[in-house]
Formats: sequence, C-alpha cells, structure tokens
Amino acid sequence: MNLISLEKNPEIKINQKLEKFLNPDCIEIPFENMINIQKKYVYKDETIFNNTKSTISGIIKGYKKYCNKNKILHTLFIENDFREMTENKKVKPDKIDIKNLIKILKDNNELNLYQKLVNNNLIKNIVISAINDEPYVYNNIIILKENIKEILELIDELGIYFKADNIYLIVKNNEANIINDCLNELGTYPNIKLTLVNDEYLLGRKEFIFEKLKLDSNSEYWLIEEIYNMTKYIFGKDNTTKIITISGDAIESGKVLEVKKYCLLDEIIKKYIKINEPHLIIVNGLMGGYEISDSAKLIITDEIFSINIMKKAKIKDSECIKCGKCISICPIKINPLEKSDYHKCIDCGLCSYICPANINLRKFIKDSGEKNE
Amino acid sequence: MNNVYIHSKNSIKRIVIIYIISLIPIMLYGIYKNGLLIYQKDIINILSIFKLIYLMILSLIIYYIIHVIWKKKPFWSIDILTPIIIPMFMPPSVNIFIYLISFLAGFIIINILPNKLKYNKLAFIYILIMIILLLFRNASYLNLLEKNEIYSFNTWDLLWGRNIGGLATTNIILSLLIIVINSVFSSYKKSVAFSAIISFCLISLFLNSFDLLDIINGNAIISFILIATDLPSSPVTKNGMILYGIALGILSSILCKFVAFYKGAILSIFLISILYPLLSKSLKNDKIMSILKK
Repeated sequence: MNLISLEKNPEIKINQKLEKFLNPDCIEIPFENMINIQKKYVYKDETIFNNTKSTISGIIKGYKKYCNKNKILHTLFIENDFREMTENKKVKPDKIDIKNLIKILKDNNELNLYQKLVNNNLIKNIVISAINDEPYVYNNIIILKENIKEILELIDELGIYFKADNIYLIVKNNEANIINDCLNELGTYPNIKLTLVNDEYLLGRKEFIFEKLKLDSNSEYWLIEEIYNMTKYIFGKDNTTKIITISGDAIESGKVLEVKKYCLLDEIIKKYIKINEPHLIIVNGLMGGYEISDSAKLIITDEIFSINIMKKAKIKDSECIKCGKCISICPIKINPLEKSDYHKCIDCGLCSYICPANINLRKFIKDSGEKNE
Repeated sequence: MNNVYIHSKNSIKRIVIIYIISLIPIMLYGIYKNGLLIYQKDIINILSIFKLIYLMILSLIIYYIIHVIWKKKPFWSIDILTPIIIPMFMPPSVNIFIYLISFLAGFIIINILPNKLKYNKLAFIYILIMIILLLFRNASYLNLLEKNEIYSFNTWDLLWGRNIGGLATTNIILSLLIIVINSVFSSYKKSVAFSAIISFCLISLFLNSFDLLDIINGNAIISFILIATDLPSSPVTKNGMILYGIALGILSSILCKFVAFYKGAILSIFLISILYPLLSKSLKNDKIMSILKK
C-alpha cells in the first residue's frame, strides 16, 4: 500500500479557532415524502417528523423546494424567533454510564452509534481517528481540541466497557497544537495511546488506517466526531449544531464553524465569508466532493462537513499519454483502460488528482461502473 | 459534476521538461565525442561540432508546423520528444538534407495514420529514416575519427561513451542517469527499461560467447531507455511492462546478432509495440489461457 501526501496550495489558509454561528434567520428541514404538519410553533430539539428535530425554536412558515445533487426535495421552512425555547431541560449526569448511553442512543434513533456500542464481538483494539481525509478540512481535530477532556473521558470509559487491550488515538504528525494538548491530558488516561501518522491521504478511512497499524478484524473504529456526538448526549450539550470547515483559495481565510443544522449556506457566506473573485463551491471535499451551482440552495444537513470556495481555474484535459500513474496510485489497482473492476472503486479521486493529462477519471470510472451494473 | 478540484503538479509539460533536462548530459557528451574531438583533429569545421543541435532545431520546426499549426495540438505534448530523441540516434555522418526530408515524411505519416493504431512512433520514424539513409549509403555509425583511426579502449572507456553509436547514444553511464532523473521526478516506465536491458544482456552474452563488447557497442541499451519506454506505446501495468521488456530483450538480442547490429534493438521495439496488444489480448482470452494451463 503506497499512500501519498497531497500537494498543498499555499493560498489556502485556515484559522484553526472554532467560530460559532448559532443564530440563523431560518432553517429548512429537507424531507422526501410529503408530510402535513398542523403545528404553527416548534420548540428547539422538538421532534417534527421521522425522528427529525428542529434545531431552533420558531414559527413554521411553510414548504419550499430544494435541489441537491440534481434531486428535487421538499423542505420545511422554519423562521427563528431567537429564543431557543425547549420543552425539556437536559440534566447533566455525574458519571458516564455506557449502558445508559446505549439506551439514550436507541431512544434518539442514533442507530449507527447504537450498533457500534451493542456489538458483542470481542474487541481487542479501539481506534479513534482525529483525521479528516479531505484536504483543508479540520473538523475532527478542532472538535478534539475544543472538547479534549470530555472526549478522552468517554474514550477511556469505552475501553473499560469493551475490555479492549489497546486504545489508539490517531492524530496527524503535523498537527502540533493538538499533539501538545493530548500529551498534557493523556497522563490521566494511561490506556489511551497517542498514535501519530504521516499526513497521507486515505489514512482517515478505516481500512487504510487498520492496514497501516496492522490491526486485525477484532478492532473497532470511531471518528472523533462520533465520540463528540455521544458526549453531547452524556453531558447534556446542545445537540442541534454541527461543525463544518469553510476554506478555499477564493476567500481570504478559511474558518471552522459550529453552525445550526439545517441552516442555509448562503446565510453563513453572507455573514462570515468574503469571496474575492469568480468561484466554484465544492461540497464535502476537493477530492471526493461535488460542485454546486447555487449556495442559496444548499442546506447544512448531517452529511455535509466541508465547503470549499475555489477560484475558477481553466483546466484543460488532453489525450491520455498512458503513463500508468492512475494505476500505480490507485489503492485498489483499477486500470481505467480496461473495463473490469470499476465496481470496486472507492471514489477517492486519486486517479484524477495524479493524471498529468487532467482527465476526469473519477467521473469516467464512476459512470462506467454504474453503466455496467 | 464529479471531479477532483486539486491536481498534482505532475503535468504533461512538467514530464516533458524533466525528460529534456535529463537528456542534456548525454547530448553534451555526444557533441564532445562526435563534434569537438573531431574538430580538434582539424577534420571538421567549427560549425559541424553542433550537428546534433541543428538536427534537433530542424526537427522541432517540422514538429511545430505539423503538430501545432496543422494539427492544432498543444505545443507541450508528449510528441515533442520525437524531434529531440530521433536526432540523437542518427549516424554521425548523416546528411542533414536527407535527414530532414525523411523526418518530414515520417512525421507526416504518423500524423496521418489513425490514432487507434498502436505502434511505437519513435521507432517507426527511426526505421523510415534509416531505410532512406541506407538507400543513399549514408547509414554508417562510424564517425570521421573512427573511420580513420584504430582505438583500443577498455570496457570502462566504452561504458563512458567511446564506443560506436549514434550522435548522442554512446554514453551508457549517462543514459542510466536518465532513468534515475525521470524515475524520481517524473513519469517513467523504468520496469520496461530494466527488464529489457537485463534480458538483452543475458541473452546477448550467451549468443556472443560472453563478449561484453557486443552489448556495450551500438544503440541497444539506450534504445531501451529512450525509445522502448515511450509512454503511449508501452504497457501501463507493472506486469505488462516487465513482460514487454523481456520480450524486447529477447527479440533485440536475436535481431542485433543476426539481422542488424546497430538497428536491431529499435526494429524489435517497433515489432513488439505492434505485437504486444495482440499478445496481451490473447493472454486475457479465457480459451487460450485454459489451453496454456493444460
């Protein structure tokens, strides 16, 4: 396995301090099947439909149409009254109780986290990753930095609960600030091993970090963001926000922002970001993300973790020179010149990144794979 | 649209520039051996020292007219290596006018032939030029000094370029530098070069009663380094490259021994580049594979 470090663009700068945008004018909650809501007022954290909760308190103004990845979805439009009214007050527990946490997760329909906790298999190693694979995305590292005490406490409890032999906390070796913070805190938790890895693309994915650390199948993988989400339930924190990174070479300085779920990207850009020139908006990473035409239509849902605002560059593709770089760099060793194995593609984008002829191999392989299916 | 919005610096322009830079040492040595040394003996005039450069400039003009103006393709394409590499392989006594006409003909033909045809364009142009030069009896690889005097160089001298070969293809040590530079900084199919060199050396040693001079002399080794590794016509997978290189080494050693000592390697590169896609398809054919396994 030959992983590479992606070349960095010196024009992209990011302020690594968490900023908060918790008072949007409105939110729009997307839904697929048409629903009829009679209510006129919703509380913050109140379930509206299908375990979807409102992230603000306010007045339901109606429905809107919303477009994401060429799909038309409907949204429920709620106007913020800025009062953060809640039905129930959350009580902060004295002690972390994993069994209680499992129950809370089930009640709140957090099925992914729930499944991981009720896993009855023997777990030898727990891997906690603070790596964001996509370049210029710092969500996990900022979450760890801002909440290091609670996160380490929960990780330690998870180790005791699973009776794991090893707990690895994975951090990139160029994240000097957080390494220092971790070293200061880890004295209290001798079971947690701080593991530094090179800044190599794909180490943020489970299979690649397991291969790097030579771990077997008796290992469980968690992202810092998942641990953080659990700490929110345990410590009664606000569960209506999420962390996103906004960066790119078309803006002066990137930011890591805590925003209300279901707020509009357009509102965030208007309040926080100064865009200098003609630009592209790319959602969820420069390697594996997708381009959107209009920021007004993008809602910050659970799936969205980064926004890149990039200068419009004229990239011209040319004829394939058959250098073979795409094959040698592909972690699955897919050969784009042959029509087999396209279905194995993990959509990492490395083939397009390395191609000297600038051919959009990611799209070509994905489209060909879908056609074959 | 699913695209990747950052790209590595590994562009075609960069690949080509690094390749050209890596050729500079061996070109300078070629100018020294086939120009300066002969000039010092008062056999040629000062302008004739730079014959290699003249050939390159003329070839580049032809490239520009056909490739950029006529075909409207970008200047920095992988094809720019053709007018730079071909002059290096020319015999030192080549007539510039005959070369120019034959290069022009070769370059027009490769631009007219359909893109789907898979063959090594460099080898094709070289063979065409050599056929024309043979018709005009202008294809001798001896330079004016080598024609008049007898030398007794040792193996080390020959490795450093005192052997008989093209205008800039004799220095084997510096040609290895081309592999190193391109492998480290650019896209280079080193597996083709290494497997071809190793298989060629082993078989040639056997065929030539273990005489090392028969391997060092001629253009064979540098042909594997510069022409066989041509990106568009050689395989893209590692196993394919090794297989291609071995096939080249075997055929070259036979052709060099029994057909044409100086031209055998490039002739075999041309033949293998045509035959390899067919061989590769056959190997993937399940019926043939099952027969082979039996």
